[in-house]
Amino acid sequence: MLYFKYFKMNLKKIAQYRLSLLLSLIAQTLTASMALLTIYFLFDRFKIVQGWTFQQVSLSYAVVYLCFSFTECFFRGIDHFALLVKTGQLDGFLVKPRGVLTQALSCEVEFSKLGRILVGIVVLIYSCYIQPFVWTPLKITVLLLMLICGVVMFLALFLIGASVSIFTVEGIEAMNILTDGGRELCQYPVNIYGKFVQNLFTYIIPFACFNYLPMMFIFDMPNVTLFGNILAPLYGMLFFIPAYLLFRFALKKYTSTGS
Amino acid sequence: MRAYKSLFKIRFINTLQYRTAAFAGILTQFAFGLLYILLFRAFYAQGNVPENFTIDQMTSYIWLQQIFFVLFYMVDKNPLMINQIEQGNICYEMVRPMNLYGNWFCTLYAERISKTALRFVPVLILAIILPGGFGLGAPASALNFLLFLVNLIIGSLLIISINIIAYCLMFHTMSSIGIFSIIATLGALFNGSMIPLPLTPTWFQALVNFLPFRYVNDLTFQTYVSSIPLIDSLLQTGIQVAWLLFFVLVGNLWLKRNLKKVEVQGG
Repeated sequence: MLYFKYFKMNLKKIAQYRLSLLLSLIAQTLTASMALLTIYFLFDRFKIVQGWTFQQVSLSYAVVYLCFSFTECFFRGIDHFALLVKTGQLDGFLVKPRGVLTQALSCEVEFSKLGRILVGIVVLIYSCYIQPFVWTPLKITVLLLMLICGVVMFLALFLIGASVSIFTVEGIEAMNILTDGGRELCQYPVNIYGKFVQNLFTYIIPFACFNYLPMMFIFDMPNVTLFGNILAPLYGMLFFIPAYLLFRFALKKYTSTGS
Repeated sequence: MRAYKSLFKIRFINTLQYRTAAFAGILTQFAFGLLYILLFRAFYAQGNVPENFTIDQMTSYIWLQQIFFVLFYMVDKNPLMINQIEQGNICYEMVRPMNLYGNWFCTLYAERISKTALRFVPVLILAIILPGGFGLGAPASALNFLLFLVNLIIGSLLIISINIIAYCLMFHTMSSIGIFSIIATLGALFNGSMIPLPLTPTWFQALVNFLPFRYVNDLTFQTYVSSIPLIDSLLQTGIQVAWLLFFVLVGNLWLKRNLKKVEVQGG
């Protein structure tokens, strides 16, 4: 597949700067562990937040960290879409007999972020290990669905950012509020931020679908329903459809910058 | 001195052009400020609140962090300077009749001040007018406010002097990617950017007192909200000045040594 050819090329590119790669890996390991440490500090003082314990929050942190890193590492091209528009590289994509999305997704793989994925996996395994309950097959399935849903959500947000950049040419830094902000927000179950934020990120941008809704099921909390909680990650993935339609619409309206 | 003044002016005006970026920055700072306040309020609702750091003090602390975000963020990646080191354009700088340390210090300082000038007023206004205990409170006293201003100025100089140490390290790694993020991450933890330091365990607070990072911004904010007694703030201002002198001295010596070892290949 085309994506894997690009993948190999990108791997060879980064292997040229080994010291830099190593330092990046160290830096990312640090970032991930520091963030977890701050969560630990808060629970060390306050013990519990809105009924959630440290073990439970560590799972939501691990999930969002892994999902975001995965999207950022493998689909970096779509995050840098504004650059493609600005430099006119997108014109080249349009004349090639492949989908624009495939090309944009594969044109850049950020291997320096690979460290984050590794760290994310370690944190996830650790947080699954410290849970006091037994992991049933259904719970593991829901966890996997949460991970897929998270990746799809962030990919959709990057797509929306890309669509906006077709109209504005200049990258919209404000889009980072949604992507980086979403990552920060989802470190904790979103219902701790209060009703308004909870509704916003359940019904408008469904972060809750890979965050607190299915987590309520995993942690055996009361009032869990099949359609409201267990299947929530599946609804969350539907967010990709409007994002993709917006992207298609934006591409139709695309006029080259001419450079 | 005149050369430094004009250099400062050039960089200042140059950075002022990026107004769209500043607007996005304002939005980001405001959104993140609100997010963190909501988050910490959720924790505060559990009780067990530290007595020297009430919910209002915490709120003001977070807003000050956001208002002065660009003034204090750990590592300023200046593409021009990174390029000088990576590509070797530094040799052009060496032929100028100007001290390179002073040149860099001025450039970095002017850019930070200019970015701050563009952003801090709107965030400040938004933070003040927010109702219902979500806004920035008044300083604890007039004296606290005066000392806060002093800390703010020394802190802004201190962060530049630490930045130049990062660039000195770059002479050895030849790439900005890893080393800058390591400093940025450690700095953000130790200076209270990830979690206000008064909320951390006692052993951690004792540890950060021995590191330079919290004297960049945490001290400034704690002086404003008066979570440490005024006399302690005053004593720690002394430590802040000592760190500044230390880093300026080390940076100067290190840069000189690095420049001696630069080999010009021609071409």
